[in-house]
Amino acid sequence: MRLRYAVCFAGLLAVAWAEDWPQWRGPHRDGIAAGFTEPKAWPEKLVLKWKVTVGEGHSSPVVADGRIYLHARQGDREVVSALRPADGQVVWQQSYDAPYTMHPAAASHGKGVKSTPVVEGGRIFTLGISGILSCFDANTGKPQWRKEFGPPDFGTATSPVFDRGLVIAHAGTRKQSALTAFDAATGGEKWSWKGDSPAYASPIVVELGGTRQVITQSEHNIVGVSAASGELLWSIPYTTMYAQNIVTPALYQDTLIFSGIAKPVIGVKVVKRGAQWTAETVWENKDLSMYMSSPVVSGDLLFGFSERKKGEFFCLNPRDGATLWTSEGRQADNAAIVAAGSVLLLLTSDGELTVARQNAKAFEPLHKYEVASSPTWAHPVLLGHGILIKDATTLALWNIQ
Amino acid sequence: MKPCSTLVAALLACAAARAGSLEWPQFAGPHRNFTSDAKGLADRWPASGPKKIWTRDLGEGYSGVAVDGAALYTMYRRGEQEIALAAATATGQTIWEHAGNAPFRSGMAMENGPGPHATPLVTADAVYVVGILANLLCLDKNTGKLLWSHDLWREFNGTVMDRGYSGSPIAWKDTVIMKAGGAGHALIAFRQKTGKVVWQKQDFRNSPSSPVLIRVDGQDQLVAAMSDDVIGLNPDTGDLLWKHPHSTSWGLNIALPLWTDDNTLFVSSAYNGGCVALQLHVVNGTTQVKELWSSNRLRVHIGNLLRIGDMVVGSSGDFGPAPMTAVDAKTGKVLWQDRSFPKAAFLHADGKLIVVDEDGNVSLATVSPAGVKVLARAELLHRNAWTPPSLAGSTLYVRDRKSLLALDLR
Repeated sequence: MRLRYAVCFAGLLAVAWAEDWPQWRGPHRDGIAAGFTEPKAWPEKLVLKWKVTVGEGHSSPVVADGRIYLHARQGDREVVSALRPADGQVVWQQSYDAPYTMHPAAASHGKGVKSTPVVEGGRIFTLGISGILSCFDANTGKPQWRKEFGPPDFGTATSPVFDRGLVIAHAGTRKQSALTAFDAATGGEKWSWKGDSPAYASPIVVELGGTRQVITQSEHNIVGVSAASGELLWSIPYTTMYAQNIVTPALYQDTLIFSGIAKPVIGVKVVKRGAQWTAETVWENKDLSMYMSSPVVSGDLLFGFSERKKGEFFCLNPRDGATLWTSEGRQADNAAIVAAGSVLLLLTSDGELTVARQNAKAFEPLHKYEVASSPTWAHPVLLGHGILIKDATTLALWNIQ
Repeated sequence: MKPCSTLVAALLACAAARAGSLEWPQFAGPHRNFTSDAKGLADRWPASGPKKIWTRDLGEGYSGVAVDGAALYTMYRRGEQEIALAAATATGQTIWEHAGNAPFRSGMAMENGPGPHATPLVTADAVYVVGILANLLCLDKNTGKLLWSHDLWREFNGTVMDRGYSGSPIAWKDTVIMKAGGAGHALIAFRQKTGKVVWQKQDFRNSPSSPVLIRVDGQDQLVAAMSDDVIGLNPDTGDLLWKHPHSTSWGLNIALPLWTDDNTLFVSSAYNGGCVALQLHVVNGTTQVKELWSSNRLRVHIGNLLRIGDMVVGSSGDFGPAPMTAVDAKTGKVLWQDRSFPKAAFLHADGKLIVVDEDGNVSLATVSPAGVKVLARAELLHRNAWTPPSLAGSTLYVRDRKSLLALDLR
């Protein structure tokens, strides 16, 4: 974890941040904002510090080394912007041609960028909706390398992950694709796994059974692949309706947690016996089901958003999968979840941010704020005393102190 | 004598308006805005719901009920056929039926229900019905005999909609006006008596929503939400008076535009459409359109908007939770959202809301800028209960995909 101590900007406001948020779901790719200190009193209303038009898409903002980065679409081009946290002004911007036509069934999500970039070692890696993987110098924006893949049917949504000098992404079309590790500096291919086509879920990299592995949902499987070699270690057949595997895997101790539309939530243990890997489902919760929202494990609790009952928040025990509580139904089409300190930040796709206590016994909303007037599918990102919200076309910083 | 005759005329006009307004002769009622002038409705219902006057088997369909005196008219589907039905308002018994073949065209996606979707229109002599294949029938009101018909898709090459045609007919003077969509015939006016085309105009692609007649500073206008625009036409000629962009992810404007007496037109759609408030004024013969506000927070799918005081109310969202949402009519600001109701259709009468939600609950409620208060609720229908309610006098007609109910709201 890289700690950034209070940095003051000359200008309209002083922003202090404790922690970078350099990739999809934060520093550890788990939706946990560990460095967050809750304000003494939550305000009645959030104050808008700034709002800038950045372009179309549901790619989440990332924060690293004193900059905000955002990948979005402007017309037929995809644009990577580095912005100043103080006022949202552009430090550098790069763009490239990326004409794209949405699959009609996914038209309502728009053809903006869905994948969230990752920043590491002074480079930013982006993956556009049509499958263009790019590397830029994070400081200057200078393009470093670029690879073009096609997209899966409903458009690229998976976010690349960085691990030990490699950028790992499952890019490509249903017909031609590979889960590939690229050398971060050169883009050279280090390894690839071609056992299944990509889905919309994002991979995580974790250590299990003494082996560092890339775990993701591909089009028809849940897979564990050696992070060093790309060798398939284990897989579980996993198909959702219309082949929409979306949820990012979560990890609690040595239990992996998965779900998908109209599927239960499952806990899986990966075991190595001799040279043989097995993945065993150790619990199953049929009352809950996740579609596009990824869960957060905080301590001994898992918080998520189930698609059942037209959208309900839930808490389960990740040890045995037992439901601890569900909220009332009809909460939202979707919600992005971040666990910050002792609270949950729940951003619904309707632009409502709910702050709720992390409570094992009941859903405990504390405050609700309206933070956008257009759809919000990206994750909220904490930045000092503020929270970044990407809506359909803009990025805004709201002050929470 | 003149003042007296004026007074008589006024009284007659008033009586006619009052009598007329207690009927429900078309989609969305006498004022085509889901409000009724009925009075004396109960403020509470027993737990089992309002008193059932009768209930009868009906059949598939989301077509609403048009009511004219002793008869009501609706449509349902039986196998490959669509049936136009006239039934007695007192008993629910069939007076006549008119059946027509309506096999699905290839490529139609009817998994949410096979229709029919549109609500009949009753005039002095005839009933106008239209099924999922856009075949407009003019039927004799007393016998159900076919007087004339026009196929808006095959004959006029109208916009084919894969979930079936759904725009309800509207009467204007001696014509009936239909949305067809497509170059040169986006809207068509037919002579009521003969079915002869009076005019066909405009090039817009069609959408599922129904047209509405409004009066802007004394000028009559036909308003229609097309695939990507809302438009105003001269209903006598079909000439375009104005247009304003309003698009969704799939060219699907479904809900009826709502006109209110502060010269504001509200147009709301799901699938990322949102709601716009347009202020219309006719200045030197030209309609000036000013967008007062637009909001993503009020996205009506298949239900409707209501104007209640300074609020606009509707269910916002498509296949998600679709909470009941109230916005400030002047600013578009969300006043409240309430999760008490699933996606619903709303009717306003006697200071109360009658709410029919898709899960099949029929409820009585009041709303204020502070929120919604549910006075009574009864589960009377089965999902998907997507048909909007009709209120004639104090009798409420609601249906699902199996049954039709007449309820006494006194």
